[in-house]
Amino acid sequence: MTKTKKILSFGILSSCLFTIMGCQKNDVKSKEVNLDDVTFTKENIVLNNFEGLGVEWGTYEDPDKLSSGSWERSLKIMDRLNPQVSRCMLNYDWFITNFDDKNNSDKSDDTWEYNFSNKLMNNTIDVLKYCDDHNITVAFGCWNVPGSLGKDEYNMFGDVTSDPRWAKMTADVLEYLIKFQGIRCIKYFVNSNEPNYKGVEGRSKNFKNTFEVWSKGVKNVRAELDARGFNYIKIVGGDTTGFEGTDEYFSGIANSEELKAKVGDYGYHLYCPNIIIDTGDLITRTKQVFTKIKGIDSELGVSRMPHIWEAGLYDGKDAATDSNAFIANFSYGLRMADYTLQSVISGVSSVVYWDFDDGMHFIYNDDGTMTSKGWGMFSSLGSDSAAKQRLRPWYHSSVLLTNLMRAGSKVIDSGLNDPSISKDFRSMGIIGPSNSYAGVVAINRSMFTVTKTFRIGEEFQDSGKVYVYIYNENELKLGDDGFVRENMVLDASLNDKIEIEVPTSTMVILSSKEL
Amino acid sequence: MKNTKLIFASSMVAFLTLGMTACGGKNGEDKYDNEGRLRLQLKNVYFDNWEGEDVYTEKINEKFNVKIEASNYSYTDWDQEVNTSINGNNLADTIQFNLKAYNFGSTYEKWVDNLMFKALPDNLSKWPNLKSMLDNISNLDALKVNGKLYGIPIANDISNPTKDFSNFTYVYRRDWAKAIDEANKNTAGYTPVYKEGDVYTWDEFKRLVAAFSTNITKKDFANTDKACAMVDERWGFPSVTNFYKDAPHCYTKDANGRAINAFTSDGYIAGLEVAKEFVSSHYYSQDQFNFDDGKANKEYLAGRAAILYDNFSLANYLTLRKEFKTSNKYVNLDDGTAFLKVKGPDGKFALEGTENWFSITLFNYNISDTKMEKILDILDYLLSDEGTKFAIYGIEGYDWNMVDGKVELNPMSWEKGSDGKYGSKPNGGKYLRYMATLGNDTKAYDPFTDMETFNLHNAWIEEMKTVKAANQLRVVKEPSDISWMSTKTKNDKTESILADANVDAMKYAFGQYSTIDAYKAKFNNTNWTKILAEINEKLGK
Repeated sequence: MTKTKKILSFGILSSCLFTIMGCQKNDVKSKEVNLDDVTFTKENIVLNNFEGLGVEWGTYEDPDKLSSGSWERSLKIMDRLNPQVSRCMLNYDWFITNFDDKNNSDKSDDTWEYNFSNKLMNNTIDVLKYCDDHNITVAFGCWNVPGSLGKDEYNMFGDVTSDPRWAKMTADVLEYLIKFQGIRCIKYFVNSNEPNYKGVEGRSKNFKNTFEVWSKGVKNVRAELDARGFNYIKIVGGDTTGFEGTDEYFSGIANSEELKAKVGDYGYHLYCPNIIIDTGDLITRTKQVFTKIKGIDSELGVSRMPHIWEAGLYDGKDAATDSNAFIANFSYGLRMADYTLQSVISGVSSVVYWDFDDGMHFIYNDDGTMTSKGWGMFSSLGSDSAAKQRLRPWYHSSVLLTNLMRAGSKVIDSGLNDPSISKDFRSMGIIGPSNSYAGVVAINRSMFTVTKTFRIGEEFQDSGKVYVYIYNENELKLGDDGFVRENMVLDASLNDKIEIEVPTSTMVILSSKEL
Repeated sequence: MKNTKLIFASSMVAFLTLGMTACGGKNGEDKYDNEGRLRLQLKNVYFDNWEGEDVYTEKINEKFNVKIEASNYSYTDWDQEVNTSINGNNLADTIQFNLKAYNFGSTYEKWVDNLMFKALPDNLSKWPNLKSMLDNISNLDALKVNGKLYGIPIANDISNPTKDFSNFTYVYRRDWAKAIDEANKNTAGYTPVYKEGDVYTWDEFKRLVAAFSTNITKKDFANTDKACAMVDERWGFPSVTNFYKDAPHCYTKDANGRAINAFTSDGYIAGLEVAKEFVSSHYYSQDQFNFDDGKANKEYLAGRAAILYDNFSLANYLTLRKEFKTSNKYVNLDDGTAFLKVKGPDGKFALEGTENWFSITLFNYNISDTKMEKILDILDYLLSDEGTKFAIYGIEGYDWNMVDGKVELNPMSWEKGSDGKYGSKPNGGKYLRYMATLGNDTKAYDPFTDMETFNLHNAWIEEMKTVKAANQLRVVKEPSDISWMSTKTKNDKTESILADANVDAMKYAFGQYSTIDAYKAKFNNTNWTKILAEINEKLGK
């Protein structure tokens, strides 16, 4: 028996309509696929212990550029985002002093010292201490081997991370942070950024890198970290960019028993073209890679989880300024949410968005000036326009997801997300850690409003309320504090069917807890 | 196992194909990726910022069963990178080379002789779009060695193949010209310097330059002693010689058809004297002698020069306007970057002549016929109507739809940023098309084109085409029978004597040679004598 009760007038909720239909929780479903009636059940659980969402929060390359009060504002913004994973990258060049190669080609007798007393290290420590205090898992690393393009003063561009000094520098810097500064949040080490991206000779420190070179670097770093007692720090398995390079490195790792034992995950970056997200093809592609690797390494998704350490959109990228023209568009948030959904239901266990704040990273121009890279959720730079300093829409969509998809959650596929079934509507269910809450993420990418019913088919600690959040250009609701808040609260249960009309280009989140 | 079979199969195909097309290289061993797709290693200077992982490249890979692996030359080190790869015999499957008349014999011809490149098939009918483009390439026969063409000259504008003049010209501060008139409007008998339509006779031009020179250091103008009326990009100095000279480079002909030194011809010397006068009058920047590449643009953008001479291809003009907008926020952009159209003392406009192509895509001698055909298939497709739409608009059904016979862009796919412009949307088809054409044929409808700039640029081209048709434009060309002629000393020495000659001209203009005879004496050397003798012998003069 089904009873239907309209609980809202159309006028109140504008285009997004809800109906609650009490129903039997274990009703027998027809074998015929019903695209409009979704129940999230344990058969479709894709992740039992999701590791959380987060954002890249690296060392601010010039903290002096931050305006007065902007650091405090940034922390408030970070508080509301409430991430559980992060990536923090720096350069060893910032600290190395008194380098002496003894005027010979033998690298083993080279000596150098560190000067950690500078604003860059101070800022790094500020970032990492925040992560400590907020229980955020950090992947820490160095962008590239030290040295200046055109100079290579440490003679490291040839051997790249396989250079034995790289492992020593890595362990030295970590030792300083962990033993002297008491940092506890660093759980992963990034053995150089995007090692598969070689760039152009003379313009990239990574030009001579190969998988073999990188692998040797991983082994050296592992040995050095273990020797210093940092065996709990895992090495990111890849940190590669794009599907092709990722496939190469993942295959290489999966095929090497020795390497598998040295890395802690299958980590990659993905700047995804819009078309792949818009058509749902990201699911197909991600599963393709994972299925292949799983065929070689059955521990993928078990003890070696797939992580995305840099997530962003490819379209709109301006290579000259390393910014994204669409970063302030609502569509960026919708696509990033869709990207997250598609990745997670394909088995990705955590996603780190690129990036938090325009004020962190810069393009260094030939004339000596610096231009901030525009990939952030806002800009903390006082020199930027007011529009750039405002929170961008994708910050708000990310806040909703990071606060719903907490570490320890179960992620449940709708079973209807395969692009061969539906190209432009996707959804997933979330059951919070220890079944403490539940939620539904529904994303409509079609040109039309669609009506769907959702129900969580598993037990959870029901609050008796459903908080409804709507992300689109017209209905995103912000509180007086400038942060996202619910559009409405229903006296209802996600264990009951809830019928939703989801407008075009909209994400709707239903949650039994306030996000 | 899979690869071995594929390689065997491809070798068989390649063998059979060789017989059919007679491309005239050796059959290299093709490599396939683990999906059985033929790997194509393509290198091009315009592949900068293209990472080759876009879905459009995937579509091409899928359509042609290939795996495109793209890499690029750095523009500043382009020549050196090509030379290094050729000397090291470390070539990609395709190479883009900056082929010029002055390096033709010393590079291209020599490299062909050394079996570095593979000839195109004799019969190109299988690739009708490519063939049609090549049929319109200027001086194509000059590029053939023993009747064979060893590459694809990259067409400037396949929709406009008859344009034979370059875009080396002036832009100027129209706002300053107007401001000078405004400041002097109440002076009795004052004749304005600014000319409506930006067309200036030679005398009017000289008067404008003098007026700029007088005013530029003042308040409301550059307001610095470092400012000057004119700057030329390093390679173009002294641009005023354009209005006098007969040929843009080393060689021209006398009245009897004999080859002579263009740098000591009467016309050039007359122009050089004007350049000297402009330097001594401080019309030209006094730092011009030490300019690096790009310096003239920097001076102009910094508001320290009123007239700039450069190669104003659409791309360069776009860059200038973009940077000008940033550095001169309060100046009307069109007034600050207006084309200056000057008629020389003969009453005609003068522009350097040019081939209708720029640089050439060459094929590694060692690639198989199969691979060459695949590349030609791709280029032919990208030159077709369907391929061009793919390269410009993207995938039909996602990026665009045909509505009532017109292309309609899908706003979800074609998104605009907060500046109201389309954000980048890397499309491998567009990049690959650069291997055959610079793409000027598509600028008028390419959604990424800044139409305001395009329209200004195009209006200038159309105006020059109109005046050319009316015999009011002198296109300054090196005689093509000399340009592409190959003689031993010419091949070996033209590049260096050209460089030396440009330096000597600059030295004369800056007064480092006391007399014109001292300048001319610099050309009395064995290289010039031998080259001219060799050319005249070949000309039968």
